[in-house]
Amino acid sequence: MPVRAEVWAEKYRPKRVSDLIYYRKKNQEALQKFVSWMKQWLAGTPPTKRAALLYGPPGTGKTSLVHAFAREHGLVIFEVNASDQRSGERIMRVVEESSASRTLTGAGRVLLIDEVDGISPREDRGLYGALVKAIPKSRVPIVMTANDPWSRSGMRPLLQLCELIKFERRSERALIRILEEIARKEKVSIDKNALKALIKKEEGDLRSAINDLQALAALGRHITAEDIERMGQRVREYEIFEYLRRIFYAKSIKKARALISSSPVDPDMLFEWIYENIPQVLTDPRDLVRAMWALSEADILRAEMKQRQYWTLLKYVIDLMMGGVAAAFRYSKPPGFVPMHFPERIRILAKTKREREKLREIALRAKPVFHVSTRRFLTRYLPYLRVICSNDPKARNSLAQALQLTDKEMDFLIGKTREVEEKRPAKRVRRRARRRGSRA
Amino acid sequence: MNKGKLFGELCGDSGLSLEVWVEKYRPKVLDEIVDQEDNVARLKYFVKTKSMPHCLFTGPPGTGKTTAALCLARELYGEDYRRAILELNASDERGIDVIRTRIKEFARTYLVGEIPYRMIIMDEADNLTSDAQQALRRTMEMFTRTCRFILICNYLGRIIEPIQSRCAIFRFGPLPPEKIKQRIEWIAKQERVKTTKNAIIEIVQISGGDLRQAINLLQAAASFGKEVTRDVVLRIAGLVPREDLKQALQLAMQGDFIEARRTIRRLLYQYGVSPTDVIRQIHSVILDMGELDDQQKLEIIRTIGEIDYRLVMGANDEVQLSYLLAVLAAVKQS
Repeated sequence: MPVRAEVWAEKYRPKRVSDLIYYRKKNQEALQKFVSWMKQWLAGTPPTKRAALLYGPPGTGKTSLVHAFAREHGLVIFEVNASDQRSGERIMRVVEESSASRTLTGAGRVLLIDEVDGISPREDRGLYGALVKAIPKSRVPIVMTANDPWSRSGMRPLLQLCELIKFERRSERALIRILEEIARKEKVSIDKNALKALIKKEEGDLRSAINDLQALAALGRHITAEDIERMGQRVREYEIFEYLRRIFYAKSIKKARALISSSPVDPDMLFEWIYENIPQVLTDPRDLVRAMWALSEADILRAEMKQRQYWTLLKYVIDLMMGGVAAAFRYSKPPGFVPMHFPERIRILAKTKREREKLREIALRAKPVFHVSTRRFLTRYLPYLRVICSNDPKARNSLAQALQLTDKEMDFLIGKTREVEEKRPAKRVRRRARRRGSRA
Repeated sequence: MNKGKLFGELCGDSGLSLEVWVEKYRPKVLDEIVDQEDNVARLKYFVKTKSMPHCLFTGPPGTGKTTAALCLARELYGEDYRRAILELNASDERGIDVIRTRIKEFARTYLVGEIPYRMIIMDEADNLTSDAQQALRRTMEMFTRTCRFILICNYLGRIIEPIQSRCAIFRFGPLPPEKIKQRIEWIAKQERVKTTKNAIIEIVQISGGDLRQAINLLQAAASFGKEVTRDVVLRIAGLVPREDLKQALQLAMQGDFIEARRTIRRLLYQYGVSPTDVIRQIHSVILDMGELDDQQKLEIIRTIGEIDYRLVMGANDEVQLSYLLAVLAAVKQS
């Protein structure tokens, strides 16, 4: 294994527009459309539509095209990622700044907003509004990418201002050629059948296919189609979105609960998905409360089931969580298309995992001292200890000694710092890696 | 981690005194225990006769159950009682494996000395799975000659009957306000902390019969190094950022469930507030909400009670609190 593993999907991003391999006519046209739109900017005659929206399934070469074009023409890309906070304000600022002057080197600029449909509508409430205002007067090309721009009602006014450029899934032939090239350069030996299986599994998403290839390469031997099969099916987000819709709009409890056998995730995760998305679908409070009631009942049964290992309770949990939401649908308007979200709770818990692990570790040391369970230590003692130790150095020292905590651990325990051990930058890198992972 | 070793290292008499008052002022002998006269009298009889049955201590938190068990051990075995006892907490070690291995290992050997049996203190025993309880019941019978159990729980109903019938049951009631007041005032005097009369009344009230919480509250309030007033106590008790909480309730009542849930998440995951505290704070706020009539308030209080109970039973805090938000949204709309 190399010391620093590079992500192949990044390493082999096309450097020039001509490196992009599209066989489909539609994608060729999309490429042409984008190039000529950009060329109008370069010629100093900005097109009437001052933003372009490249949309299509993940891994079809949208972002790559923008990067390749910019590189080839010496343009500087200003990237505003949807996960940046307060994107609205930021975009206004970037647009103003970049419109005011050219870069120091005189290079042109492109403002790239990746995954514009992937933003959190609450946090970035202002984003779409800001864009609608900024686009008509922008003096730099604004390029956005999206998977499904119609999934967000908030985006509709935006669409009219954009040159819409559609990308389709790439042909198998194109993908095989790209993968073969990478395999050759990385000295990975792989069957042609295995490549085909890989592409089929990833349904034309090149980035996922490259990620898989890299993972398989770690086996350090010849790769066959069987290896691909063994990798197992990655649960695709749209699959679960569709599945959730079927539950929410099932006409009866019976129909809803019958869906359990085809669930793409385990019941616990399904619970989280349903819980997260209930308010998106059941917009009427009368429906919402009935659905949440059913879910809260499912939750307590689920706790009972796990704690006492009464696995027979699972069927009632499923009735309540699946049937409960289906039955609750009465007053809410059946919406056209509701965007579903990944469970936020899971995201938060994953993000704070290290912190929680550290707290638990400390709680284990506190157990024999305070004669309580870790859970009670964290909920009943810690809030007070935080106040006490923040104010009273003597108490702080004695506690540090009793629990054998370093100064830094003590700071962490009392909430003075959120750092566990690693420095912040490392964390940010990890987050970026995850983001990439979720995009792939 | 070698818990046994840690235990000895940390709690051995290394001359270190832990300046956390719940521990510092934890009673060392049965007579020191606050209130619970009947229970103490029965336990002292065990000490006198040097014999005891398996015991089951039940009652709400902070009423002296664990303390009573530790005091009993100390009086039976003397100062190095720790070698004779095994402290377990079922909430962390609830699996059947604990019963099968750790307990059996500990209980297998005779104890040399005046008292021929060891003692196992199993805290939060109501968290044991039913399988584990069944196993425990057998273990209790098998090792009667070498071992005594003290099971401690909040809810007697969650202990299977065969175990109940094998134990002497001790009920620990919530401490009367007067007793909590006395103890708090006594500790304040030991620590030379000035308190106002109202501050003490407030502490007693908030604690609701839980002496541990009362002492924690007192120390946190005293840690500012000034006189402990009612205001300081209220501020500490409101560790839950109140504004955020109110905001969540308002949002819910305006029908913005998604935003309300986001606020609750911030409380739980960012501020690390205990869900039980959140629910109790909501309770204290609800009665003063002008925008609700009494019937609506009753409905909400019923839900709060239900949720509080469920949280104690191990339900998921965020899901349960979200349910409450949904109830608020619906109450206001109908």
